[in-house]
Amino acid sequence: MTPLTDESLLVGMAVGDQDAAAAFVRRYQARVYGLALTVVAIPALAEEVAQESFVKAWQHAAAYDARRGRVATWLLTITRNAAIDAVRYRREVPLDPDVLTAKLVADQDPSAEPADRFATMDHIRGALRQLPLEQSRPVVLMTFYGLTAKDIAERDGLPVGTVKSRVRRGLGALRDRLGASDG
Amino acid sequence: MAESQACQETRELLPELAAGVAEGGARAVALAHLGRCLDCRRELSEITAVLDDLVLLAPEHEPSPGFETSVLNALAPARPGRRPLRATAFAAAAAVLVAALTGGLVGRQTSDDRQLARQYRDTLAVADGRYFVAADISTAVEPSTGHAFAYQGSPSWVFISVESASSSGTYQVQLITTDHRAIDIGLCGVTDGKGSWGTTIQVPIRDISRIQLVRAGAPTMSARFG
Repeated sequence: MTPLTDESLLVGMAVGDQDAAAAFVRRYQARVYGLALTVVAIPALAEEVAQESFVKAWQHAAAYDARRGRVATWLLTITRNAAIDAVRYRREVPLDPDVLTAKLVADQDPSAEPADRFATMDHIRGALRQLPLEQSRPVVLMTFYGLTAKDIAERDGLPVGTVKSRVRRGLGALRDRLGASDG
Repeated sequence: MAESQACQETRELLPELAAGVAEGGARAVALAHLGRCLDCRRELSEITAVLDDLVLLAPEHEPSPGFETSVLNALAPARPGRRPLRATAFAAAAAVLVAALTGGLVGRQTSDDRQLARQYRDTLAVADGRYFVAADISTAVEPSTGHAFAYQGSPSWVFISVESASSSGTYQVQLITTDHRAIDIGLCGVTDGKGSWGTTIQVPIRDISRIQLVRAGAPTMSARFG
């Protein structure tokens, strides 16, 4: 039997279908919890964040618009935001950004995910791996921990302008590398 | 010249906007600029796509065995209502854009704010080269009594926000097209000088010359788009 698409499950959720919600949770729980754990680094807190993310997805399923992007991106953005809120008021980020970057770019087992998804992920990993640490560090701090350029500048003892410049150069390089294969 | 300066200032902030962490007045100014500048919107869209890709790199982990049951129990009381999807989507899009441009997003953001800002970007992105425009509402003697917003998309819509009308009551809202046709599109109630209202429209935004609010005995309020 062909599994329902993500969009179909969201439509089901939008009208309050519990079965659709269960299938949706089952399909995405490892990715949602994985992202939450990556950001907050505490399993119990990560489960709270993951649960909150699914509740928000359930509540806002009717507002999802497929033209805006994939369901996975939408759901992981909700998760990322919830996780950032959970760590926002700590003085220190849960994990050194260089260590987190190393985890993000580490080689993965190709048999662990579908071939097309593995190829995409491997391409993103490769692009991030090529960034100098002075660029990947602020990009990771901003993306995964929600730090502003000013936050990062204070944390790393750098001028705000330097941080902004490094982030822009880093994202520009990533955009060029990732965009090069999209066409 | 002013536009390139605005572009430069906005582009400085694009990574933080894309990450949903930009703060304060600079963010409000940048969001307003994005409403007018296709090039900056395109760049924001590209940076956002990069950040979305990076988030995908977070490794998967299975939660504890009771997680699914726990989530489903939490969902039951949060069950969404059976609202019409189109109406919901329209209301969300209008509220997002109007809130963004009228300063409702200033200050340190919560995740809901970031979601709102993201929806703002995404809503604009939906237009994909089309546009969102805003104009002051004024009368012959008052320079600004509110704002009108028009969005070219699918569907296209207009949203009126009256903030300081000199006369309260129910106003007829009319589109005046560039070929001088007047089209009644609905009624906007104004109480104590304030009111807001929106609707989807069939007229392409580029064909709107102005939107006017008309009421007998009251000064006509008008927003010029042409």
